[in-house]
Amino acid sequence: MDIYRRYGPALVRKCTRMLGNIQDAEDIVQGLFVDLLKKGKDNVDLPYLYRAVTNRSLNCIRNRNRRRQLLGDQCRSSAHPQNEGYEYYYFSREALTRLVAVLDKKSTEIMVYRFCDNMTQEEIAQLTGYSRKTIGKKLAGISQKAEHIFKDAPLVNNGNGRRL
Amino acid sequence: MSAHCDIPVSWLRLEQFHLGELDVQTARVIGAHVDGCPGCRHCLDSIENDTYVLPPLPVFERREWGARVRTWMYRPAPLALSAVGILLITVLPVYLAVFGTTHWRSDVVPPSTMAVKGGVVEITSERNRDGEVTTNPTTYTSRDRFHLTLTCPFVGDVRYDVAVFQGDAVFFPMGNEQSITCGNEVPLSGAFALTGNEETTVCVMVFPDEMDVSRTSIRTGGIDALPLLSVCTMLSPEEI
Repeated sequence: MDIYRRYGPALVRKCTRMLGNIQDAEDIVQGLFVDLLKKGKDNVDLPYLYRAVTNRSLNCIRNRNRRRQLLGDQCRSSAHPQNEGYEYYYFSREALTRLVAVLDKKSTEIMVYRFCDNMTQEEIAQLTGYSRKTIGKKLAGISQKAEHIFKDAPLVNNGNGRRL
Repeated sequence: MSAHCDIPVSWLRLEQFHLGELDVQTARVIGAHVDGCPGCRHCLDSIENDTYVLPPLPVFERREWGARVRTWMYRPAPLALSAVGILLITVLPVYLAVFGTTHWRSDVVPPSTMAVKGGVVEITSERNRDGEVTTNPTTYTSRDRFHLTLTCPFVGDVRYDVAVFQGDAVFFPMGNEQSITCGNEVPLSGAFALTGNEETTVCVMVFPDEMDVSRTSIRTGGIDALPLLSVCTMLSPEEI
C-alpha cells in the first residue's frame, strides 16, 4: 500500500510524540491503514491521516489504564535526551494525559494540534473545518483548565510556555 | 540567536516539507525559516535523520498449505461467510485430527519472517568466516561461527530458545532461560558452529506469553513440535 509506505513513518513519529511508545504508535497507524484498506480508501492525504491518528491516539490516552502507565513513564523521564534544549517544541505527555481527562473531545483535539503539533490557529481551522472563533474559544477554555490543574502540581516539563 | 521562535513551523508542515508536498512558495518560506531558526532546524533534522523502519502491514499474508499462521483478515461478505462456515464445520475437524492445531507440519519449515500483530518476528543470521561477515548466508562449513539476531514487536522482555535441526538430530546451542527486550535485530547472546554435511535448519522460538515449549518435546517431535511463533533459516553444507 503506497500511502502506507509514504506516510507511515510520519504518522508513527506523530503518535510516538503523543503516546511516548513506538509499539502503541505502530499499532495505531497500522490499525488505521488496515481500516482504510477494508474500505478501499487510498486517495487520502497526510492532513487527513494526521487527523485520523490524532483521534485514535486520544482514544488510547483516554483509556484509564493507559493514562496510568503514561504517567508512570513520565515520572521516570521527562524528556528524550536528544530533545534536551528543545523542550519548547515537544509538549509534555504528562500535561497531555492530565488535560485529556478533563477536556471535551473537540478541545482535546484542538489542544493536540496547537501544543503537540505546533499548529497555528489558522492551520487548525484548515485541518479540522472548525471556525477560528471556535478554536480561539476552546483554547481559552484549555488555558483556564490547565491553570487550574497545574497550579498545585507543576509539570516537570512545562507545556512549552507558548501563548495560547 | 534564540533557540526557539515565537511561531514554530508545525510538525505537519515539516513532514510535508520533507515529503516535497508543499507548493513552491510555502516550501520556500519554510525553508528560509528553518535555515534561520535552530529550533525548527532541530525538528526538521529529527525527521530527516530518522532511521525508523516501517514494519510491513500485516494484512496480506500468503498461506502455506498445511501451515496455520495468524493473520489479519478481511471481513467477508455474508454469503462467503456462510460458505466458509460450512466448510469449517465439515473439514476442520478432519484437519485438526490429522495435523493438530498449534504446530508446524514437518514438510513446512517456518519462514524467516512472520507478520504478527504490531509488526514482524524475523530471524537474521550472521556468519563469521575467518573475519569475513555474511548476513543471512545459505551455506556453512565447520570453521564458521554463527550469530543470530531477532526482530520482534512485543512489549517488554520475551523468552526465546534456539533449535538447530540436522537430519534426525536437534541441538540447542544457546543456554537455557534466555530472554531479550524486543526491537529490531536484537542480538541473541552466544554464538555457535555447525559441523557435519547435512541440510541444517536454525530456528528461533519466541515465547511472548510465557507458554514455552519444552526442549524434550522438540527432541521428540522435531520441527513438528515447534510452536507457531518460530522463525527459521536454512543452511546447506558447502563442498570443501
